[in-house]
Amino acid sequence: MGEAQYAIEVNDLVKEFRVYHRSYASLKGHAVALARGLARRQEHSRYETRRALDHVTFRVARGEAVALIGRNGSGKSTLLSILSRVYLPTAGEARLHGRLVSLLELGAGFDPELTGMQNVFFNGILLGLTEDEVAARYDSILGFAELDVTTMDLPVRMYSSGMQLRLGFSVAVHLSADILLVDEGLAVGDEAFQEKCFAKMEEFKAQGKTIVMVTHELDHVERIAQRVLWLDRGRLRRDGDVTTVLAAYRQEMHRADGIGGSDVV
Amino acid sequence: MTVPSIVIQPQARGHSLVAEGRELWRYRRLVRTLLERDLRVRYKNSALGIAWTVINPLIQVLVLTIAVGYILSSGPSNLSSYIFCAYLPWTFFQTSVLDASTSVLVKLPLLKKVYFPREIPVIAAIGQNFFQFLVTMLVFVLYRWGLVTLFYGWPGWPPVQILWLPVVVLILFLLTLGVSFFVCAWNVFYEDVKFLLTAAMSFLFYLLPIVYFAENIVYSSRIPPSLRSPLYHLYLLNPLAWVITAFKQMFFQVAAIANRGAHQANIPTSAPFDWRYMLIALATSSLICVSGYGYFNRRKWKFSERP
Repeated sequence: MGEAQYAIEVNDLVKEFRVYHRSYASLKGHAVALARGLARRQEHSRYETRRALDHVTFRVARGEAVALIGRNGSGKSTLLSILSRVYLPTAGEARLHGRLVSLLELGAGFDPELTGMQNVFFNGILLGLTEDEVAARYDSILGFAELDVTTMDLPVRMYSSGMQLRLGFSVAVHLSADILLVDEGLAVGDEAFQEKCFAKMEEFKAQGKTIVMVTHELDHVERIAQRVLWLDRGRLRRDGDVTTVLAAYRQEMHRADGIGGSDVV
Repeated sequence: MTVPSIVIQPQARGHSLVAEGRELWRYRRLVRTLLERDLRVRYKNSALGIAWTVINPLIQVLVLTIAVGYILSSGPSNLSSYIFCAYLPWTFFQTSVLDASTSVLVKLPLLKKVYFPREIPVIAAIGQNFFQFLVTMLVFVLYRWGLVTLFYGWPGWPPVQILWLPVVVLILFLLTLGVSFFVCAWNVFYEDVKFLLTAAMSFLFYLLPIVYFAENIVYSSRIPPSLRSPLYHLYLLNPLAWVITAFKQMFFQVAAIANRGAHQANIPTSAPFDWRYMLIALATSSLICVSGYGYFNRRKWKFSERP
């Protein structure tokens, strides 16, 4: 194994998005805006910058299970997107030590026209496996998704959404990643499958894998996480053990909406 | 086994294209898989399947041959072969650029969720068209040296310069890749580009030596004699115009390119293959390819942030 002690190091991470007042997603609009901008000697004139992450710093140790909580728009998903390298940060940096798989993308690469089998191979390769590695895991993937061989020869468009989800989750957990990013992935599927997913998470924890989860379900947090990061308007507000941070969070939510624990904005 | 470490940082100014290329190479399997997948999906629900790749250019060649050869009655005797030949690089360029322009946009939901080099959809779109290009080229060879032989007799071997074919195809590929990178990066943010492109393609069709020959410029009576030669050289500086001309020069011997001028003093003939133009075209298309890739790379991390 590697020498690094941490699985994830996030240093002073800032992410800004430009919010355009006039969305000129056309060439004409752009030309007009550009001409105006040139006349006024400013390049872009009609956007403001919204800071989604504001100097966030934290470290996640190898084998730790961390939950990210916070209201909608607090920057949780942006943070996960940066860690899964969908966005680049505006400033600061993040270091990942180990192979990361993000369960944000459950079945993201599925093509409805292709069969289940073709999709498993495509998705596996998309997420960084070789063809042989997918082939070696194929039976296990099927077993975990509770799908049989005949189903796998049907195009995915004929699957129910639950079946698609199970297949996506199954591919993701078979990637043998060191770091798992989970975004509400567990809130879906039927009861029995949810339970199976939890069991898998706990198995990962036991194997010493690092888990970062984002969820609004605080009882999921209590079940999996050892530590909670509370994001509030892009800033890291609290970072500590589950009981302390959740208690503070519940109290704040209660004060904010008068209804305990729910996350309605 | 050491654990791979990944550093996620804001994009540096002078970001190295070599590093990007290396990352792309790491993902070469994904390019292949995506390409196979797109090919499979494209022909999945059509009865004739891959045959459409060939049928479309064949119909266009037929129509143009009738229009130019029979109705206008100009051009050389084996006009259909010439048009078919010119259609090979043209179809590849046109369909590649059009497909590539929307390639990232249709994959945007995936781009917003999964990391992979952003140029992969573009390359897969071009790869798919390259496959079709090779199939069409095979059909052309069967037409020219099979069907024509059967009905009109042996058309003769192509000149020895046919050996340059791999280099010319490389030039075409680099040019197409470079243009596609520019067009795709623009189209993600300004969807007008797609429509503009359709218009540009029909303009380009007549600008390029497809239904006529580049050498027609040298023989045109409408152009003042002193301008003919410079214009001809200028015309061939367009790498695509040269590639199309080179295709004709590689597959056909030097021949008369008009069937009406037999009684005239100077009979228009096609020019032989000229390797000096090849060097120029190689240089310009490489330049377009590298600058297109650079431009694409500067913008590619903004794609997923598209509003």
